Amino acid sequence: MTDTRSQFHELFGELYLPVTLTVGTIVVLVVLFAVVRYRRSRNREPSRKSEAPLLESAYAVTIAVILGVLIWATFTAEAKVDKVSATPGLRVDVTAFKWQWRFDYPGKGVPPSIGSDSHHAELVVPVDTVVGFRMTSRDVIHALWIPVARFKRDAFPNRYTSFDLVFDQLGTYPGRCAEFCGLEHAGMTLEVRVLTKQAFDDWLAARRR
Amino acid sequence: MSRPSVVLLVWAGFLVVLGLVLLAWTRSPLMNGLLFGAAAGTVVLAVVALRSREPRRRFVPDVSFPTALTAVGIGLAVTGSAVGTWLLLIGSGLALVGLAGVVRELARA
Amino acid sequence: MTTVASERPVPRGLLAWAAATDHKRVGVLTGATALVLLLVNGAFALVMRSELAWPGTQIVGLKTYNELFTAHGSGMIYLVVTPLAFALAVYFVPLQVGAAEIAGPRFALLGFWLYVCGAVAMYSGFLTQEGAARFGWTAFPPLSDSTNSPGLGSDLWLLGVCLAVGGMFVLSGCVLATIVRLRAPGMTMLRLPVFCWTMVVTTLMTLTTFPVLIVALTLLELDRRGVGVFTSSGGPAAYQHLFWFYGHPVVYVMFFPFVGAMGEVIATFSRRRFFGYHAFVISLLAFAALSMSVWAHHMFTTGQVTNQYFSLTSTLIAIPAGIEYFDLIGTMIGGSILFRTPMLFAIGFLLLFLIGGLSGIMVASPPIDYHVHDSFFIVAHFHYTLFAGSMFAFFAAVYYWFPKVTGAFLREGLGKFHFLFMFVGTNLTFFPMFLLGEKGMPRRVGDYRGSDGFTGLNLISTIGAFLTALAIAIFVCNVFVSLRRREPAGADPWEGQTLEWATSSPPPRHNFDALPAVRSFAPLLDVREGKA
Repeated sequence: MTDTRSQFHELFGELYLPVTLTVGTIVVLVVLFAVVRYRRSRNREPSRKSEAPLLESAYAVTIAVILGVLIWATFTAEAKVDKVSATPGLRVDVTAFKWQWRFDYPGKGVPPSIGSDSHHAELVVPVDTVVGFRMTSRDVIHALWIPVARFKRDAFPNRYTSFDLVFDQLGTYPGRCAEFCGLEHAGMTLEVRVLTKQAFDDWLAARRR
Repeated sequence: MSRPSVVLLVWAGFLVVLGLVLLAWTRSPLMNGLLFGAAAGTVVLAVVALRSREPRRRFVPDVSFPTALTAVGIGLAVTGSAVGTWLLLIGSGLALVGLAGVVRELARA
Repeated sequence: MTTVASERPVPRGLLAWAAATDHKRVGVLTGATALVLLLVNGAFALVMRSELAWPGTQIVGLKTYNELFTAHGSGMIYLVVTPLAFALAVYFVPLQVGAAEIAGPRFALLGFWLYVCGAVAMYSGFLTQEGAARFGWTAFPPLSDSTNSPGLGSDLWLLGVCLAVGGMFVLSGCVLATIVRLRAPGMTMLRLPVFCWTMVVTTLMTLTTFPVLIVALTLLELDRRGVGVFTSSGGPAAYQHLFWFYGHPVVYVMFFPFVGAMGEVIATFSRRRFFGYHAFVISLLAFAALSMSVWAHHMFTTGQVTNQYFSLTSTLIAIPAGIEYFDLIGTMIGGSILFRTPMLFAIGFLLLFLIGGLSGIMVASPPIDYHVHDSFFIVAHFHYTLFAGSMFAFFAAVYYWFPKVTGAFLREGLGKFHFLFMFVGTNLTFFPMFLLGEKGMPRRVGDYRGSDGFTGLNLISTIGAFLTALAIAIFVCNVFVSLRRREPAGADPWEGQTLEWATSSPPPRHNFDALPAVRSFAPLLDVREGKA
């Protein structure tokens, strides 16, 4: 299961954010210490020592080790997020165009969901299912961003891109275009509706009629 | 690292290393070309720096209108390539006049 | 007793300034033009922030908003921060290396005027019928092609950028040539001041990547005229490679010179030799080289590049960046720090650039970038590095070097207010943007819905923007007041360490009447410590 949301939370919330906050806090404290302890009224005579190669090398190595951990975690998470399954539970074809979205469900015998000015497109998906997306653009570069999934991918014209997403929570969520595509880019939104598997089948059946 | 050309060659070396690492991941002519191209450009700069000797003392006037005119001429000509041939011609003319003036300045030095 | 050189009459008048070959005048011209454009592009930002303060379009429609953010972004990068960096370099590199003039003085003048012509061309798009360019400073095809962005305004923008960037390219050649050929006797490369070393790597990046942008935009312009350059299925991505190969190094062109100036400011106001000079030099070269190899981290979400390599090189940048912080803070530790305005801005730089840098490490991770790319998180990241970072450092440099350029101090009291309002304003403006991006607000949007939940944070950000504008207004006042009712500063008001302080304020046309011996990168400190 390529659960992009939990991958993001593990990588960002449990590793990158704590690490950067810790490093940042240490640096701020050191700067504040320097500012207080070595202000002119506290320290008249400046030190003449102008390098500390051993300390500096140890420091560089320490940073490298921390970065090594970050890079390893990133490569691992990315492999999971970028993975495309050969047998997804559902296939959806996405077409981006100025300035709406179109979602086709190949093999399901239902008409596509196409956005219009009055009614923006709906991406309806079943919960806890690997949804295999294939996306392209009809004109300029767009990008499909589904914040709840912590994921976006660019849609290029004359090219297809594939990615898998899993939605593990029922509900209705916003989606938007995230690559500036002209006048109405700000309004190029969509709605993602995550239904139970039963409700999704019912929705498909209703659309077939 | 006491000489500029050495510094430039060291930097070109860094770029080559990074380019080789990129090669391990991707064989894109564009991507590899950009990075190795920058390294090659830096080597050219290093060679130029190596051949740089103590500059000849050349008198430069405090004010050089021809230089400013050349620049404005180039600006108008480039802009003229989109706006219209008339501007392209005016700009080119001014740039040529400016360049002639610079040549005169150099000859007088 | 006067020398013959000092007797040469100083050319006066507007025309003499406009065609000056004195690098000091070219530096002042470039800096002054860039500062005026800072105000213009800052005004654009205020209009944008006013529009975004509340959902619904109240002030400008989407078309104008899109023109504004295109002009603001390209203006700040091409016409403000890059020229400000080169203005400092053109003025101070010849002085710091003990030269009488810049290498290729006429080229420097040419570079300045190409920049001005470029600026005029870019902004003249606003006067055209179809309007100014509005495809973002990145100008990605197919959006920027003649089908999707017809109109002369877009072409003027493209050509204007080529001119402005060409001007900067020429200036950088002069600066590098000065360092290579015109150093004073005794000044080996490893005795170059810290600011000059940052200019070495800055000019190297400029000379190797700015032409690539000119090529990219020229190809785009040809594409717009019917030559099918980026029309194949791989075309748009190819453009992005060419663009970002310039587009990443340029952010370091807009960073390193100011870091170098911070090295000088912190050393001077801590009364200490710059700490870890050799480590700093190596890390600068490594940092600049790495910065040439990370460009496709701007393309993580395209799915068309090898994310791993670019994620690796982008993350590794934290090592040389860390060394630079170590050396800057190491200079303060053990020092005797005086909190004049330059030092306040330098400390502000250290604290605020940190936020920009650390958020950069985050977005160097593709899975994190997949969420925050093209959102306000990224807008926050690059404004923390470029505004809270580089511009704070720029103002530190201005308060430090203004006395040398004009012979008068900038007012301390106004300077401290400038710092205070700018520190508070900058954080109020940009920190909420991290949260907005994480919440789901994309960038380059002139409006959002009330139901999005973005309103509160946008309102705070807009208030911060106006506070920041007030800070800039205080600075402008400071400049006028300080020039009107001058507080004279002598040759070396701060007990400086580098050669520009060994001559009068402002320096004479030929820069120096005499030079002290150069035994290290801090010749005047050596004299004071009895080492020379």
